[in-house]
Amino acid sequence: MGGLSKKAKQFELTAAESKLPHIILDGGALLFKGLRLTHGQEQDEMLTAQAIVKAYNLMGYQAVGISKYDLTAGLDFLRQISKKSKFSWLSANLVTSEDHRPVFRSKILLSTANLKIGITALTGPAAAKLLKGQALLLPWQDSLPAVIKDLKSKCDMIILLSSLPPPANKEIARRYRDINILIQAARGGTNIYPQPLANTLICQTTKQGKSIGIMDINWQQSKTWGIDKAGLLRRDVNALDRLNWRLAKYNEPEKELKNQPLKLQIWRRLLGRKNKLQAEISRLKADIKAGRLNNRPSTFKNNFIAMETSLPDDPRISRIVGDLNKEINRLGRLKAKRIKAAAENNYIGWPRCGKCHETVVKSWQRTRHARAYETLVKKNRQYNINCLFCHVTGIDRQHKSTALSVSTELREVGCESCHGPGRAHAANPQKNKLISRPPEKTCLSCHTRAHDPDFKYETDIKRAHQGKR
Amino acid sequence: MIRKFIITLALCAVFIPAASQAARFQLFYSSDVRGETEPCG
Repeated sequence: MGGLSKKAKQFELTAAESKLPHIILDGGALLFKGLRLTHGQEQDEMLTAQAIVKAYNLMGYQAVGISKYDLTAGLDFLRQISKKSKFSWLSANLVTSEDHRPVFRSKILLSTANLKIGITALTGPAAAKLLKGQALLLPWQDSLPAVIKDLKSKCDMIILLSSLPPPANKEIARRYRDINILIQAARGGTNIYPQPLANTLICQTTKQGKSIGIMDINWQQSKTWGIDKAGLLRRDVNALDRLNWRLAKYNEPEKELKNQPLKLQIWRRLLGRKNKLQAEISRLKADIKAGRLNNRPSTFKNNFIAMETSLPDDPRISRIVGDLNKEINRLGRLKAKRIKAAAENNYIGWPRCGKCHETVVKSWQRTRHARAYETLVKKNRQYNINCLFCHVTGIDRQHKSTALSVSTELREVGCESCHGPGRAHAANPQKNKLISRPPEKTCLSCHTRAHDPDFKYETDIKRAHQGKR
Repeated sequence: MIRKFIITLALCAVFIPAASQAARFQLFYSSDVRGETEPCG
């Protein structure tokens, strides 16, 4: 969520710098992290989805593909959300059960730079389970051909937003040369630099909105990405010559190589390659004869911008995110009143530890662990269960919600967060020893790669004890 | 008047096809904005 305001600012700055017309699209997987709403946090998650839509409205998005992660709260929720969206939610294969009409829009036409650009989308098959009989998800093979046929007659360029698995996207690219760009929303993916497959650029940005893609496109009438067909033909004809020469070594290979199965296998494979090459040569010759020489290929430059913390924010989006955090915090505070902090039983808090371990506690007070709760208060997140767990002491994973009502001495990441509950130890230190050096997994439960990419167990654990971290 | 009209037509004939032949624009795109986070806590 934090990246949205930076993303908005980057769009604004890039557009101002280039002075080119632009369109803004999202492949999908926009609204939710998982396929089920988290128990006890349903309202928070739906509020977050609504805030994302508000931000996308302000950013000027024109279309978003529907993925399974947009259907987590159900079809009706997405319908409600779509009414508040200034952009189009697209899916060509999400259809009504009765007459197979698209539930949302299957395609839109955008005009930019004297071009008509057709946008369509496909929803990945795993979304079917989330529809609960309210709609159907057709295989892409049934829904895409008609949409492409229609768009082809009206558009200069076609863009597909797809949450299908990557192999299916590749197959689509091979089959439909009229799709010029495919924005893929595969979960957990990395930035994929667009490369033409047939005549489709498949592109993707990394997960969690940590990057945006900026593609500078010079679109020519050839409607073909930079491919030199005459050159390809020369290459294929040469390859065919070499292949024919190898194949001609045998007059009757099936008989001559009867006792050499490996060589026979190779010969058959070469024959298969020859057939493919001949088909490709015929296609290229037909293209060249028909004038599809592609002397002026379309070109593109792509740039990914990582949403680093140092980038400037768009204040309008920051306000939306800030308001969302305040609201989630307010709801958490209401819940906190109802929760009994059962987890406190075995924990005594850092002031009690300090009675015997004064020097160590003084050193701890200089660390960021000692200000962990304070940082949440500053950000209005001290009642946000997703954040709170790692900023207080003595809450186990199963009872995360009890973190909402911990007492003052258990706020902050105190001694017991790493060394274990101290009540028994305080009563009889000789008999009940604590963990002297916490294992790495204890630290990693909060210092995840996503939250603290620079964390190094060996060095940071020493620094923490020296009061330096 | 007629001359002006002819000149305008000629200019249109030169520039309009050129504009429709090539177009430069930018595509801003994103995907998987939410993404699963690593389990935390």
